[in-house]
Amino acid sequence: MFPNIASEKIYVIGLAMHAAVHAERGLRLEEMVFEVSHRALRNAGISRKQLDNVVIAACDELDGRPISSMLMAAPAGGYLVDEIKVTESGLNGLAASVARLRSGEFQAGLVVSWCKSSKTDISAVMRLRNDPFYYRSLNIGGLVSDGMLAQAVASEFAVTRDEIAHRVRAAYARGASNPRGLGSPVPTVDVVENGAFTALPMRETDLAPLSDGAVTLVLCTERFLADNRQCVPLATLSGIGWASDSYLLGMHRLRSFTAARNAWEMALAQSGLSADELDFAELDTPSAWHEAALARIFGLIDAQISPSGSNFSQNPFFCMGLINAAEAVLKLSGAGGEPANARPRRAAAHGCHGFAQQGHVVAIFEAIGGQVN
Amino acid sequence: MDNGLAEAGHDVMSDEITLRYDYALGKVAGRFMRGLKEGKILATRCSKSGLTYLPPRAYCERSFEPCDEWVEAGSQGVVEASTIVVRGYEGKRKAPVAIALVRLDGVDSAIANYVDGLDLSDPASAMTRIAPGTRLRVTFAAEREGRITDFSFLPL
Repeated sequence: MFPNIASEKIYVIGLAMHAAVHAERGLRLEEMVFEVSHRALRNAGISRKQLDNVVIAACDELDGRPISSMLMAAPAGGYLVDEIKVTESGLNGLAASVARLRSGEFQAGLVVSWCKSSKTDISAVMRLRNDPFYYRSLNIGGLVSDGMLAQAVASEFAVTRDEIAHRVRAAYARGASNPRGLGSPVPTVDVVENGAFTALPMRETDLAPLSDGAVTLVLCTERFLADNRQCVPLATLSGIGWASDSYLLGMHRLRSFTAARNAWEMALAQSGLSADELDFAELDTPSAWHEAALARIFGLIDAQISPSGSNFSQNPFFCMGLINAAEAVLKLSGAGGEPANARPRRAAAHGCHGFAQQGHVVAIFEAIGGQVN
Repeated sequence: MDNGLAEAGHDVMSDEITLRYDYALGKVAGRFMRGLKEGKILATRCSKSGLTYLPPRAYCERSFEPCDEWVEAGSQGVVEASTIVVRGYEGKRKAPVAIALVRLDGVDSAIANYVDGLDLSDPASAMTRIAPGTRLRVTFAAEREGRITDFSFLPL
């Protein structure tokens, strides 16, 4: 078990998401980031000057310029504000923001992440990320490693083609009912069963199509909340865990999901909750194979899995984990439109990054007034 | 954005930047690549942890000591993971390609490479020949250039 290191409650007091879109051609990144950050601050009921830190989570290669935070800090509210950047994933940005608040050095932070993969050749970016000596000419990137991961999941968990087809259709169906999603139609069984292979056993239809997006969360400490009574907290963050697996791809790495297990257990231990006490978990699942594995590893039943549709609702892959966090908070707060008598109380948000899900982050959120002591 | 500014439409400005990198192979990758030219697959070993790394590494991540020994990997090994990429692949070869992570005899980690000798017109059937646990053997290209693609795997 991991020690409970949560010394102070962290609150989500504001959020905003860019409207889901396959390819955002009408706005440049600065405009997208300013819009979601400005709206999130308004949602939080605080001004930019009340922020004492900003965390940016983004990918320079996808953004198309090095050290993109030089350009993006200001539209994220970072003018004359302590700002750092993380490059793993959006939910790693949340973890960094929470760590800063728990350090006692900061009281109010904004975390923003975006992904506009439509602007470039994402497969070339993935190839660039390969080790140049041993693997780049083989291109052991996302395509190959996802195929190998699917093979490992099928073998380790006895996952069948029927299960994958069911999960694909169910995920699209959940996404279709999410008003913040792309509204993609649910494919027929025939389409899913006969989708073209990409890297066996992965089929194109098993993968969630990529889209563009951006998301901002505003966090604060209990002390900040006490000093700013105009803020209405949307949810508390009661646990967060992150872990990375070995860089060495192999049978153990692909089958053990050690990092996912560790991140999950760390977050739950901090919150004092067990998996069956969660109303739902928004899982970062680039494919149905990922969902099949994570459902088993995390001990989740179908009714708990990604009510938003997660990646099958929208899939700006770098910031997908932070979008999952926003979706979870919206449901817990009632801002997502859930009736009060059906409102969930506890939820997890998950994000992953790296080839074959090398890294994982899990955050636990609880509704205001619903914390377990 | 409803900010009163004129809508810019959906114009895009395309740009392309070509960068060339001269990666220093260093001591370890350099010797590994020279070994490939000679028809040998060389791994590094840490005498403190006892781990043998392939692809070779200069240091041991467990002991945090330099790897202090070279070991020639076996010419056969066992598949740890595999796939056949049918589309969307941009590597040295054109799709379809079979790729496997193989732990060669005498080393502790798996190395990836293409698998030859398969009928890829029926990828599902070909996958059964490179399933995890299957043993494969190493074959070297007739003309070698000191690159990872100097060798590939073949079914036994």
